[in-house]
Amino acid sequence: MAMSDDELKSSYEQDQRKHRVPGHIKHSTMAHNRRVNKLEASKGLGSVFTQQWVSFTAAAFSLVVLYGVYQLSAQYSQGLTTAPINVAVEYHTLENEIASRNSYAKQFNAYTTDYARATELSERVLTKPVTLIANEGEWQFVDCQQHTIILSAALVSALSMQESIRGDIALGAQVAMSMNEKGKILLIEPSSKPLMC
Amino acid sequence: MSYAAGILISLKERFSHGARAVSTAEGLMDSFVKTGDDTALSMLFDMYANKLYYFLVVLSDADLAADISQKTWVKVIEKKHLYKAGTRVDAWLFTIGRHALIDELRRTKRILYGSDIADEHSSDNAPSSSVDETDLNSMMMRLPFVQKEALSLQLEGFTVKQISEICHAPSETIKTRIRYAKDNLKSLLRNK
Repeated sequence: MAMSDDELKSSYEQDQRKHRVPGHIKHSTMAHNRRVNKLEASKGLGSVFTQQWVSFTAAAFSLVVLYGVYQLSAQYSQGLTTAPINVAVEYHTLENEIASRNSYAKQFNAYTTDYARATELSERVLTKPVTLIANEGEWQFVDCQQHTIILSAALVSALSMQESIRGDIALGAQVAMSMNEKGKILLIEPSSKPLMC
Repeated sequence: MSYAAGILISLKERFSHGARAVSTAEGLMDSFVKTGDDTALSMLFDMYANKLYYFLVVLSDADLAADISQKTWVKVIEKKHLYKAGTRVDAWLFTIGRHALIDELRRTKRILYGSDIADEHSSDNAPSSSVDETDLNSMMMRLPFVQKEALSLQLEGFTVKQISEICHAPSETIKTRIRYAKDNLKSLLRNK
């Protein structure tokens, strides 16, 4: 008895129908899939937490580095150039004059009435050559960087009274201006030796 | 044909193609790989579980086939990321099942697959017809392992090339195994 390929296939499929996969296999397969999905979901959640933790750590580290750089540069600038003012026009006035001279373009440096006592405690941290370019009540100086420094008339009087302005300073004279760590003027005096920018 | 009608037909074709793609085994498998979707797995199981089980029954017995079927589906779930998109799902499934079966048979020393292969070119190892053969299954189970393996896969609809990939054997070897398997079956039927 011979059997064609079609008959063979048909017999194969007929036998296949007699042998069904046991039902419990599907049940346990689906249960296993649910377990795996749950596990992967929890792993995914863990991974999200890990990623967030890494981001948070990186951000915190960046902040620490930035703060460190800020501190370092603050210390550095304090050591080298103690004048905290770096604007086109510096205004030095008495505290009670500020209201009348308010301007966004000008940096005020207010002096309290206790200034005279404070100067005794202040340390001179910067001395720079400045040139008197105007003397019409208030004094106007320019420094080597062409920044304008203006002292109000009241402050000039106050500084003169406490002998923080010494000698005769003529228009166009170059003098030494000493300042404390807060950028406040401690002394203005003619220099005995030539001043260099 | 108006422009609007052309657009409508194009949209219809696009949507009908999409639906077809999702309903194929490969579409289901892609969905399962991406999301671990229960429904996709259930549909794949319904499509192939009986075929795989019967293939394993022919190569071993009902108990072992059930055991290996279970292991195969567990591997499908756990190794789904290894499935290459676009490849035939049943070919991947049968490859996993066959490997699992051979590993088990080797472990329990129920078969020496290598020595069976050595006999593959002989048609003399067809069983005697003294056994009462009631169906094809009984006759096929009496064939050498590699012959019934190749013939079963062909009857499952795989091409010679696909069978050679599943069995890791050259196409010519597969053709020979199938030919000897059929000769042996004819011999058994003649003597029935």
